[in-house]
Amino acid sequence: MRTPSPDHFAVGRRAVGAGRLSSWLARWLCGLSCFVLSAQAGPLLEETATKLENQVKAAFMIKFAAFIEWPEPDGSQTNAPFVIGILGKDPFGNDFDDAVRSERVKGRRVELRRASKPEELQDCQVVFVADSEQAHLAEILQVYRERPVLVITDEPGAVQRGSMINFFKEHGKVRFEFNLTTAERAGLKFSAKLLQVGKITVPPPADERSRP
Amino acid sequence: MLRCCSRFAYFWHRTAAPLYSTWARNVHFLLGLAGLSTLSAVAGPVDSAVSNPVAGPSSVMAMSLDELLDVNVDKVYGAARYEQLVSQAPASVSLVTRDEIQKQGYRTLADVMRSVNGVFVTDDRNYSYVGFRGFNRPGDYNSRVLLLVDGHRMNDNVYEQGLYGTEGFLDVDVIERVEVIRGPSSSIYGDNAFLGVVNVITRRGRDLNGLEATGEAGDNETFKAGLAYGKQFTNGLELLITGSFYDTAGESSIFFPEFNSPTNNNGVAKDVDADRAGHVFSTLSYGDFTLSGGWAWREKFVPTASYATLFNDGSEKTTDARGYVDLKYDHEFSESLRVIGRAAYDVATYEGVYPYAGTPTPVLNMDDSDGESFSTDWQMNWRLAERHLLVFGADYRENLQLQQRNFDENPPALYLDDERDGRNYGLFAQAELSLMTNLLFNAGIRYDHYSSFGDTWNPRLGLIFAPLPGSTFKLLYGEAFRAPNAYEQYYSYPGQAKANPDLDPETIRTYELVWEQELPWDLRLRTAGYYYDIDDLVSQVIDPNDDLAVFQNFESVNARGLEIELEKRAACGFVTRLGYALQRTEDEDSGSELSNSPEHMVKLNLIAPLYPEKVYLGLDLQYYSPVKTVMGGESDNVFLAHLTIFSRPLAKNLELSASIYNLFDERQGFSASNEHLQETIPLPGRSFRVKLTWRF
Repeated sequence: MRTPSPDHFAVGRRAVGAGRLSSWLARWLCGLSCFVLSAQAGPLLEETATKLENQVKAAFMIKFAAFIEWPEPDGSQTNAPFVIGILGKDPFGNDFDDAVRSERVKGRRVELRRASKPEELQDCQVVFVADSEQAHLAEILQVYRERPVLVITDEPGAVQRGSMINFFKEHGKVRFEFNLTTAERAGLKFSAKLLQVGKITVPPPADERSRP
Repeated sequence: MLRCCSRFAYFWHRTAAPLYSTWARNVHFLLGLAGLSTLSAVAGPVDSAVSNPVAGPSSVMAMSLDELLDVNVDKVYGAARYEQLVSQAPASVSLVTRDEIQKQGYRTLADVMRSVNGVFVTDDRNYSYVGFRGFNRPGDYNSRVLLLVDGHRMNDNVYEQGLYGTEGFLDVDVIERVEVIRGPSSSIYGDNAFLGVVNVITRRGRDLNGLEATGEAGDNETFKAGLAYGKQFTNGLELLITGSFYDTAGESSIFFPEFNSPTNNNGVAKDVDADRAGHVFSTLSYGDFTLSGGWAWREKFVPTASYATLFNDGSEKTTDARGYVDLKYDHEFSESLRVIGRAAYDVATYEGVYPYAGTPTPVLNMDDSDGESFSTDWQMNWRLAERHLLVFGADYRENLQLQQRNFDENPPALYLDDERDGRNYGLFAQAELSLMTNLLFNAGIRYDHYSSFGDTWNPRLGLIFAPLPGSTFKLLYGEAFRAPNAYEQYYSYPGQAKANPDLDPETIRTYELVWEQELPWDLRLRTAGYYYDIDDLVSQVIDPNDDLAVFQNFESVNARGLEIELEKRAACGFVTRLGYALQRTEDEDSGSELSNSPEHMVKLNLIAPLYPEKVYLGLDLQYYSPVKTVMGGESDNVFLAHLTIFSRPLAKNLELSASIYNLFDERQGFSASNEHLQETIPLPGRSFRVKLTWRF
């Protein structure tokens, strides 16, 4: 980075336009106020990036239920609420509670339950393992082993470790992958439509055996 | 049609410009674009299922499974120093992910940047130079684009240079995502965020979850080996540790017609293009704290005989090293209050060896720099009533060492030994206000103080409007500055160059209209029309009083352009991105076009699955129209093609990729800077690479 041989000659220096900023601010503020006054005020629903992504994931969790069959040990329980557990630090916030209030899953109303220990969520139909608990995934899966609990995660590699549905991002959109071995072990049946829109990362054990 | 519009705009500027003030001209240019955009939006069918950038929770919950799969949640951090949806960012943004880097076989950050619409990267077989929007002046050192690694400033403190090629700080395998943010962002970052910001986000320990080994080989005796380990432990501790080494002999013979004489080996530079680099990078995070750091070293032999050194001598080389340690604190006090702070120590060194004729052996002239700094940045993000966000921040940098030296080794002679220190700080405030469900207002302003030249204020304003689902308009205005660097202020050489400590910062004003439209058949259209005006450009001139070269605030430049990109991402893994950039730059004094500023650039990126989920084909095509050279001539059309076949786990945990770079062996290059005797620097010829990655 030595000095290159210069190829121009000096001319006078330019002064920076003074007062440029203030005049620009004034113009913008004036323009903006005209715009706002002429527009009709509506409900303010601006969403942050993380919030929108979490809303999409929350909506998926509700939608999944329609495409999954749980083993029903007792027909009399069908009036009981459909319970979604959130294990660890809840990323969804109160919005999720507001949103599920009017939702029905297979005719059942939806209830959210939050806990910090997996044992407290044993009776849930769905358990979402939050980011804060990822490191303990192996122990958590042990607690729900053989139980009809749909374990959902949001962590690269979690589905290989036994989570049944795992969210991931592809081309800016929320996608999900399945572990059908652990889902089958829990007695959960995923519909063809659901399998079609997600990615089967771990196939069911029968498929595994039939592979070369 | 858009091209016609810009032609019309250009005609309009040329003929009717004298009747209008600059301000009115710019507004009319943007309004013209807006009108055209709106027309097209209304005329084309609109897919109602696509995402509205400002949709509420109830609307998301009401979506069907298929609609949810279509919601775009692409995020960007670097545009406003907080995470936001790309559609809400006050800038035109492009993202390149690790997935694309693998499938396209990109070897360096420069390769990544080359693929981005509107970005122009040149290489003088020493460093890579990144230009945005028609501005890539030969001889400048990437100081007008701010380069960040996980938010840490990478432009060094002597040259303010960002490194992108093999000289880059990070090995490309450590990169998770690259955010390319066009336009000025001095309102939040201060210096260097002049034409754009590049924020590189690294992989996390949990993304690796184990050990990863890579091995690469290519022609010209090119080898690279890397090891990386990442893990999140059960106690919450997360670790990433990576290292790699790269070595190439470079092209064995390069012909430079300008040196074609018997004394200069008939213009053939033989075995003088070698390149070696080593990288170490690590992050360790626990709770609110992240400790990160790394070291990169690169040695490049220079075959071009720049600065009138001996041709084909084999001792001209540059060695750059860059390292830092950064401790970051990030705490959410409540849902509405977040504080982020960091403290870092940075070091950057450069050492150049330049051979000149001497008896009995050539004289080696050494040109060194050493920059060390301590910096600390603090910011507070404060969310108001859930829908407005205020950000307040303060950055401080203490330049502990700014050293530049130039000397001959044998016989010893000292020409320059300049040691400085200096400091600068900045205070900024930014507000993102949600005015209506589909209207955001983003405004920011920053005050910077430098011990060298004093104060500067820089604002940025943006209106982001989503009139229909899937349709976003951004009307943006920004001012930015670039502080004169230590090299421009203090470099001197007896009888040739003198210092100028009185330099002022360069300034830029940018007006921009961005239109992003989701279309049927998974198509996405992104367009941006811009006008910018640069004043007080720091340029090297000859002082007529003493015939010495000196940097002065001298030139003014304006430019206007249009960037159009059409992208299709199909569910089966097909990705096609076609980008076109039209750019017109003008030196205001001479009225002529800037050197190294292609008027047209076309980029086609294609990723096609050859075998579903397993084998992919990556095709990267680039076209550049001729550029004006520093010598006043014109370069040729440049057409580049790179082809990669990439396979996901071939055997268990083994990934393979094979690439051919410069498929058609295009040798025509771009303008050389004036330290070269060459008018253009020929591009590296066709080459191949095979890469294997194992996971344990």
